[in-house]
Amino acid sequence: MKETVLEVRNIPPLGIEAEVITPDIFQGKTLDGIRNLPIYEGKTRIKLGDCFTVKGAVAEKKQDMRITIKGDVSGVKRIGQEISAGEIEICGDAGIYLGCGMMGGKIRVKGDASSWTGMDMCGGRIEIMGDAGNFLGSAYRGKWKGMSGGEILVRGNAGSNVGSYMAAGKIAIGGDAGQFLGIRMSGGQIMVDGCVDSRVGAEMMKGVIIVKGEVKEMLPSFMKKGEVGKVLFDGVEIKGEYTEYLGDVAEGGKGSMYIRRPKLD
Amino acid sequence: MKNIHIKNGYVYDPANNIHGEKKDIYIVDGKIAEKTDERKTKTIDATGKTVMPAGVDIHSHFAGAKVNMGRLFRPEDSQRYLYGACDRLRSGSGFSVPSTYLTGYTYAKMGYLTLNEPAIAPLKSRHTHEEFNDTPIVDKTGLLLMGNNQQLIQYIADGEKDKYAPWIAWMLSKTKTYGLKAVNPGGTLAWGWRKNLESIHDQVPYFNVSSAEIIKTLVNANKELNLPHPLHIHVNNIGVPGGYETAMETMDMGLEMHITHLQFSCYGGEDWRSLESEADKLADKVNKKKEISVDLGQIVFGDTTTMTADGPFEYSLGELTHLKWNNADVEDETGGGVVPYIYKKKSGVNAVQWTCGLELALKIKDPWRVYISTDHPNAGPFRGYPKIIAWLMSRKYREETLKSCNRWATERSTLSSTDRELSLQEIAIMTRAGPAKRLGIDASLTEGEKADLAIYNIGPEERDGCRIEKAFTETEYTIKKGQIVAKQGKIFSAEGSTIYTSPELDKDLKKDIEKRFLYYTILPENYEVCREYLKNPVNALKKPTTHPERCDT
Repeated sequence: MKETVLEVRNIPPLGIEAEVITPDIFQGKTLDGIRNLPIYEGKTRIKLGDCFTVKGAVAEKKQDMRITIKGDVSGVKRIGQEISAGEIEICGDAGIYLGCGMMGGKIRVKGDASSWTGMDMCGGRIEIMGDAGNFLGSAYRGKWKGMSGGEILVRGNAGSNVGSYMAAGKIAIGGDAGQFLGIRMSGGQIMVDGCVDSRVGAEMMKGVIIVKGEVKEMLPSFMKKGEVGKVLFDGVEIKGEYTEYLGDVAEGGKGSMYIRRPKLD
Repeated sequence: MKNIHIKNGYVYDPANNIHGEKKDIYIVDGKIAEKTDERKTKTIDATGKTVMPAGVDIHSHFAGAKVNMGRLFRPEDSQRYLYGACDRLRSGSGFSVPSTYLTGYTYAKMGYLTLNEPAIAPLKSRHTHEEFNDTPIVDKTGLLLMGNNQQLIQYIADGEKDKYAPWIAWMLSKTKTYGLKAVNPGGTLAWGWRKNLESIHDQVPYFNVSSAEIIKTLVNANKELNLPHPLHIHVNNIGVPGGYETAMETMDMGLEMHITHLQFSCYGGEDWRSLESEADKLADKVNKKKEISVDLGQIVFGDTTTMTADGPFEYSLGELTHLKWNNADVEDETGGGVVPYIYKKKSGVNAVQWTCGLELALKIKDPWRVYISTDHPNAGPFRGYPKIIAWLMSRKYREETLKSCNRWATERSTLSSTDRELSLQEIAIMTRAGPAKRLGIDASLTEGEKADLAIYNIGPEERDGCRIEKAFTETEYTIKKGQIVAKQGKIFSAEGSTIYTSPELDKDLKKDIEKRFLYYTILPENYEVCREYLKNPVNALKKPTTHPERCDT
């Protein structure tokens, strides 16, 4: 595996649209070729080399490629858009639309990721060491089918509308999650280790939501089905006392939600 | 402006009975001429290519309030197709509901230069004209929705016959529209009582006026006002199994009208499970009724946005799809709805729908009375026209699609046994000469007429579906008033004009207007769209000499 290193030089305050930072476009190019790739500051076209210093080696094929980005790229949008193979590692914070439309490969963020991470993704894996923003693994505005495959793992907290309109795939969150977790999801699995804000699973049609912490406020449109001693996430059995709910009944949905029962002292 | 000499092309000019003759065309000062001065002339070699008048789309929802609603509530449709600003062109987005500039560019690329927006809610005409002004290159006409107008229906209920035509004339002249349209006449008004009209004899609640009475009134007023286009009608009870009977009833009234997107009225059977195509019966009826013309509303498979002033229909479609649904009520005038829809080859219902439109086109014998349309964007975006032309011109291409469809397409329609392949001549009639004649505008290569034409890279004998589709997707040249506006997909923007009618009748309706506007949110003084508001306005009822056109920028 060959590593291409992008080091932040100067990111304009407006931020840049950099959908070209992906192994699919980098593959087979020279370092100068990469430096000359077009990116946009607003409607002004600039070069990737204006914002980053490009070093290292470039692989011939995308699957042998690893892009390491050093520095804070929270103002850089669309990194890894429609990536299908290879790896991207960001040693800092990432901007919005990270890995949107992702089809394969891996993205790893050592800091925080902003909103819309993994939007409309259908394959691959995104790992975030810090926190994630709103609309993690969700559908583009107006679409009725969002994430349809792949995995997202967040070690920290996530914002609201995680996995909205999700159809398949897995999302695991180590910390807490915001409002409207899994809104109108029609498949896939979401697991939250921490607590969840209100309106979890609103308009849910199918799929699984597992919450290990507390839910601030349950929707009245979820029917209590029973109590179970274990749940399945990604084929792995997780032991614990969970209450199973069915919903969202208001929409005729058949989703399953498992909430861990608080321990009695 | 340079003169143009188009050499050696196969010319199809149905209005002048020219059927694929090898002929030279000369353009001088934006008009077709007999000869030009060779020294100052640009010569276009059209050997092996086809020259036709520019296309006329008789039914395309490309501008107005509900089109804009479609754009607003389908950001995902915008995301599907993006067009960046380049070469002095404006940016745009949208696949099934493209933005205004993109609409003009795409039509010009396909060789179409006149569009008819068939449903303008009177109150929304100002908005529609603003969009017209921003739709470049093409000439625009718009039809006024009058089938559910409360004032008109009140007049019918009260039997005030002498006021029908004056009221319609007042509305037309205030909104600067071109002709009359009725969408589910009476039905959208009945929707206010949560009802719909399933036959032309059903009555609107409260007013006790039937759909048939409304249609008759509109057709008579249309004649009285001498409008260039006959009543454009979207019949009652559309898009449901068994709906073909209502279409038959409407045709049996024996009135002169244009029935639009007839494909949506071709469905027989008791319910969706027993759905079957009744297109052959309707085609027979159209063959007998010489006063009727129709357009197809042909399905093109894929993701699209349905939008119509037929409120109850959109409600039932929204219930069926469980996607997004938008409903609107335009004060005392009309209503409407917008719902996204995906036509799938594997769906039995959609496959039968697809066969209906093609059957109509192939079984109606007179091409002068059947026009190609997708009811853009209801049955598919207008970008599907080349595909439809290829399906109609090549049986092999049609069969290939038929094979990939749900078996209902073969079992429940007679399309598979239809051998007819349309000629380029017939396509030229169905896409330009026919609709132009029906709209009362010119689409010919007559000497002295404005030179609006398209050159396609296709020969008269071509029967390969893919090549036909490719040729009609992108013209070699599109020429508007002697100026090249598209060359092999590259656009050179120009302005288009807005054509309207402004009939005047000296009947004084002042009292009625004041009374009616008590129920409106705006005053009659603010209702009028002035002529100054329009870009390059042309009054079709007056000689154009009084208002010289300014289209040379």
